[in-house]
Amino acid sequence: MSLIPMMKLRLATPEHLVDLGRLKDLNYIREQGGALHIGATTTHYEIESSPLVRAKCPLLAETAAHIGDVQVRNRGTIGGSVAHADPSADYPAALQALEARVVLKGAQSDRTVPVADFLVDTFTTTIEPGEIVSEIVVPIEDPGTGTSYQKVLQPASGFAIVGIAVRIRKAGGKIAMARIGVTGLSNCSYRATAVEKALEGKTGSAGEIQNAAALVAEGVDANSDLHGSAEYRKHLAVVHTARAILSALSRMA
Amino acid sequence: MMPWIESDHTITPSPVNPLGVKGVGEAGTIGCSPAVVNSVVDALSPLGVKHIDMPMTPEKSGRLSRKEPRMIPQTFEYTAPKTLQEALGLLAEGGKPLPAA
Repeated sequence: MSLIPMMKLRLATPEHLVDLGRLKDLNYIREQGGALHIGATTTHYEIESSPLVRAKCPLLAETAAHIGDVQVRNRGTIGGSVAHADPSADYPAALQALEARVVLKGAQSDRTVPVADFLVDTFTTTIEPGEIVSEIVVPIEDPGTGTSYQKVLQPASGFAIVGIAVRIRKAGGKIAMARIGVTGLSNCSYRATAVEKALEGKTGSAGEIQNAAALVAEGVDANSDLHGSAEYRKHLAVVHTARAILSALSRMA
Repeated sequence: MMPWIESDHTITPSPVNPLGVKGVGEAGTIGCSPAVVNSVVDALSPLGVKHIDMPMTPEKSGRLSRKEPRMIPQTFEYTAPKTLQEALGLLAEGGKPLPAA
């Protein structure tokens, strides 16, 4: 979905285009070994509407439903989005929070990379020439986990000005696990580990959530453009982190 | 009661163009056509284009831009492989398909 605009702007000038979009081999969603394996040419709509993804990894289905518009979701694929590494894409927030793995295949190679290592910078990944993203692997969500994706979108493109994905689980009334993925704020998506640490062991009171969320953009070199200054983006990130945490807590089984 | 109105033509040719004509009505829109043409001339200026007669047709700008191949849309080869094996072969070094596994 992003390649044609890139070619129009001459940011990409391929001599030979190999179209993977029609590869049926890579269009699948499978449950296997405690994880969901999603083929690279699976569209956002297929992920959003898959009963399997909705049941086993609701955060990914929810995030997919927030991407662009219907036309984008019908044509765009998870492999294409991840390989493109747009810093404002929606998936990276969820994939960071899920600690997803990216499977890369080449004629001679086959390796699996954690998404946090795969996404390096704006439009930059650790993919090697001759390799393709063939699969995304996400864990099957523990039934007690609450998840939520909260986003501020650019009205024209639907891209995330900031997008926050949260997974949270309690044990004995205290937060036992928290994972926070952030997209749109800076040159690359990331896991807000400071917020995660601040939440662990807490009951999840409004004050605790606010204090934890305040750490989300600390030390981050935020983007600044006509959609929002760096300061405003950081503010949005804090507000939406708190919202996503509250929403995820309310959805815990 | 309305006073008698006399109407007449006054002719003060504009000194700034060869015809001496002036805009009336939505005079502000007059600048649009030269602005559009100037933008096309500017876009094609790397090819040495300094002037294009209106009307600005696709044929005219296309003909001018074809003087230099780098101004036309990038051409590329297109392949839609049927299998993953075929795709990986195409992407391998040199772009030559691998023998089937």
